[in-house]
Amino acid sequence: MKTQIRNISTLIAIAVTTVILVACSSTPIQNQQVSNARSRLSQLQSDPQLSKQAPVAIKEAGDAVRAAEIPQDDTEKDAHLMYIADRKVDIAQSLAESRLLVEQRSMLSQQRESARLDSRTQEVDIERNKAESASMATLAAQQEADDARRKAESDRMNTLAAQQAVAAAQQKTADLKRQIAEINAKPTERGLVVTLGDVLFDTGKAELKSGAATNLAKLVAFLNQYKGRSLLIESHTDSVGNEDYNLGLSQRSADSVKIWLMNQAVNSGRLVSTGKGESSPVAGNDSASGRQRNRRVEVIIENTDTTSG
Amino acid sequence: MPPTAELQAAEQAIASAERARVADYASVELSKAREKLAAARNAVQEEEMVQARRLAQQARVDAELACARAEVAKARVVNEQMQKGTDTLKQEMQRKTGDQ
Repeated sequence: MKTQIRNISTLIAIAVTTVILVACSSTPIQNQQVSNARSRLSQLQSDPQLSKQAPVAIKEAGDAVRAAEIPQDDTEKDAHLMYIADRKVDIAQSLAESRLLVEQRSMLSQQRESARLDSRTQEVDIERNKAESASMATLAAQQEADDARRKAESDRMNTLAAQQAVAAAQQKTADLKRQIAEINAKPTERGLVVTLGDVLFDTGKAELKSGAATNLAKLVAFLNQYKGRSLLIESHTDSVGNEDYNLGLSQRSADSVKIWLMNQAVNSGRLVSTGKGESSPVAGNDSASGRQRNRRVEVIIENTDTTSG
Repeated sequence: MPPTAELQAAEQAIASAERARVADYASVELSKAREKLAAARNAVQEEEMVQARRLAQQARVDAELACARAEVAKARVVNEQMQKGTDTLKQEMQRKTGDQ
């Protein structure tokens, strides 16, 4: 308790001393505060933007500062006038600032409008660019679709052509088979062998009978269709009579066939005629039927790759 | 004679500051004004009329300063929002340009 009381009395002592000090040195402090207010006022007055905003408040502040600058006998009055002057300068400063801020709004608003316009212009540009690139994309897609359609069409045509080619090849093969069947040809290693019996010639003659043309006509049709194939014409006899004679007879009859074919516009280069005489019998010569089978003309149509099927 | 005119002026200044919701922006100045008005009334009670007049005058300029500072603060907020709006638009434009 004792210490507290002493502390309190110390505080009081300090407070009293301070009051006395303030009272004694009030004039210099006062002067300093007034000159501070004066300098802030001057600063405000010399600011071209701010000074025009609050002329009345600045004038009032000027009056208050001038009043404070005149020393009074009464220090409390000095302090009061100082306070009022200080506040008036602050008020003038604030009024000027807030009015300047309001004035700046039209500029800010213009800037914002200009930015908004720029933004809108940009948006329009972007939209237009988007629309353009969209139409470009549509165009590209259409071209792509056209290309795809053309390709599909051409693929279809190719497929059709291929199918037609296959069909034609199949038809050709079928035709060939039918024609081979019609001319009674037998496939052998040497080629297709068409055996014409002794229907072409009278016995001992080398001239074609008048009816032989019917038998040979089918062969001609076949050859005309397959122009690439060569023909070997081999004529055979039975063993009746002289062997040399038979050889000559067979050569002559083979030639007769060749000439007849040439007359049917078959190229002679494709035709080879050979008389084999009685050398290659296909049956015994001791019977009439055997001899009849031996008297024959064999037309061998050489193989090509396409006939192997 | 009590400083009736000075007291009324101080009261009006404080009332108008309160109407303008100055306390949100300049509460220190407004509190000082109220304290000084109360002190002025006390001084009138104690018949210290010179002191009462000075306190009333000080209360008035405190309240006026509170108003003026609040106006600056409010105006600054509005301007900053406008500026921000413009800045936002410009930033958006830059971003859109970057997107392209």
